[in-house]
Amino acid sequence: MNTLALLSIYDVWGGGINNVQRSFPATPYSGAYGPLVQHGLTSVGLMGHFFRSDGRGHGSHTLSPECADELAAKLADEAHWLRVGAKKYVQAPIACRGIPHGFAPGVHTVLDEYVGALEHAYRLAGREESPWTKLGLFSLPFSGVTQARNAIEPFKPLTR
Amino acid sequence: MNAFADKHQLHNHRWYKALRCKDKSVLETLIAYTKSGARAAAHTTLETQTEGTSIAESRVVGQMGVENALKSSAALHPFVNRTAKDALEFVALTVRASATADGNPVTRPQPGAALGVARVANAARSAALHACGRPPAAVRPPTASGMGVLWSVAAQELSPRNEQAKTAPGVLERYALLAQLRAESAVRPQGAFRGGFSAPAQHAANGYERYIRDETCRALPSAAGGMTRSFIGIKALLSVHEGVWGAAHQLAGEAERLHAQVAAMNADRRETSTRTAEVLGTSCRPAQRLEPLCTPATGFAKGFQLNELLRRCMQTRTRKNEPCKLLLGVYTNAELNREMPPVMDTEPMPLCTICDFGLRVPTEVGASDGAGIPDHVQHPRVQGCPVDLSLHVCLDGAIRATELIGALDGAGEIHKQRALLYVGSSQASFISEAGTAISAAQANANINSSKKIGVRPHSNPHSVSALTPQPFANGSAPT
Repeated sequence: MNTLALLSIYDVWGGGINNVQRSFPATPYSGAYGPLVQHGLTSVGLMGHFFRSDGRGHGSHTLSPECADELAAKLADEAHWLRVGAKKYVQAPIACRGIPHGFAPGVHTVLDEYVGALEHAYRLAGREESPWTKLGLFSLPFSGVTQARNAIEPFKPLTR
Repeated sequence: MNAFADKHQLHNHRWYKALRCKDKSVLETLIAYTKSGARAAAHTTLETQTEGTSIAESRVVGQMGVENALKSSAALHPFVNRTAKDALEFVALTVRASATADGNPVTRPQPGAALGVARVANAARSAALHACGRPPAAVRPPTASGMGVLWSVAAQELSPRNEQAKTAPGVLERYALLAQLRAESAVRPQGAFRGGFSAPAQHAANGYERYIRDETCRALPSAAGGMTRSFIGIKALLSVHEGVWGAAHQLAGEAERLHAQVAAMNADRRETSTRTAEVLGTSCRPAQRLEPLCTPATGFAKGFQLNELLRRCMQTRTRKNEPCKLLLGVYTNAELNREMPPVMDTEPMPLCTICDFGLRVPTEVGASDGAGIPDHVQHPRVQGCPVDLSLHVCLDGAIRATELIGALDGAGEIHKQRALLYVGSSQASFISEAGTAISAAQANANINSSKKIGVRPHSNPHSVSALTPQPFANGSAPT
């Protein structure tokens, strides 16, 4: 009873969205961010609950004490406090102190290349990011590639 | 499994039998046409199920069964209750020669009558005009891909006040007339005391501008106005069932009859107070129309259903006291108990939301009689039909990821290109996986419960046609 939509990079579009509410309120990271990037450590869950619910026993992680100790020590050492200038520090948002629900572009450093790539590509395309929108990558819910005539005619090579 | 498309008769046969079996009251509690029928079916079902006991005499239990039957009947009502007002209506309009600034004699409409389709009565109607631009050539999809993109630059919502403007707004036509006046005035001799419109042209321009002001809201930049839009055109191939062609030919016949009636009214020489589109007549004959069978569902229909499911799935969800999947390190209760805003607002889905779409069948396809399906083709009798599909998506400045990656070619940005590729693939996988999980879960829940309203089965869970819901009861009904 399941069929994957089989979406690919050809079905993904870059663009800006608006009406995004503020994340990480009352922290120095307070602001509007694009869609999270899932790390894939948990499955989707029934009705996609692992992506949108909390502490109900589904989608949660269980670590061994040794692993948790090691991670907590790394977090305290490298991510809990961030240096600002020479003598000042700032506390990371609580949503970044552990295994997040998803990586936030602009907050988690793992996505710095991605954020920079979006801004650079749009700049090269002659379009700066609008002050009213947030840039991101968004996927169509169906495959325009497989629906396209050229792509599904047999023995006809794709251009890209 | 696609043979479901032509198992309509088989389903009808099963329904015929099911509605005449001894347990038919169970079905009638789900699909009763009237409230009294639902009540009677609920009582009958309870008596049958509790035969030999006194449970059926309990007013509380009986009332619960009646309430459930009434709820089911009310839930089913919007699916099956269609009135003549909901049927598609053809509208015949006048076309003026001056209503376009297009100088191409091929595409320029000739004076006379044109046919349009009116919106369904009481449907949400928030039409808007978009001024669009094309993306730079470097980031356009290649021509061979059959795709095209437009970016909305500014948008102007229509707010028609009079009945005529609700059917034929006439705003675009007036913009075209204004452009034509400006083009004509540009060739007038210029001087210190000359220029601009002539007095009659100024009078006409004032009239057009006044009408546009009255019938529209103020035009705003799309992103600043909160209406981020891009338009994606795709040349697609949709599977169309044989029955759809029959319904289409019936509609075409009705439209031709209306056009003939309007042509007899000498629309091109009709004396009227308006210089733009004017409604000459309408045609709506629901009794003569056929309801097309829109199955097997196309890839686009499945995608559109996923779009609707994903668009709403995170609404009102909050991660109460769970800022992350696994919290490590030191934190205070004040931090943990901080009120969390709804997930949907702070974490938008990586979904390229489709807010509207259009399908256009090329004229040469529709010109042939019938579906053109050879006789030897077995059921389901479907054929691929080339169509032009336009998607209205809620993105500002949409660029396909592959073109974004290509734009970074030669910039020595291999890491950035790789980042776009990885994140784009991840988001595509996310939408694919989450969408099917949500739709499959609904299908499973409906099938496993005997008191849910479902839709007719298909080859996969989200292949339910977005166009023709066929409600029936799962569980006790034949599936």
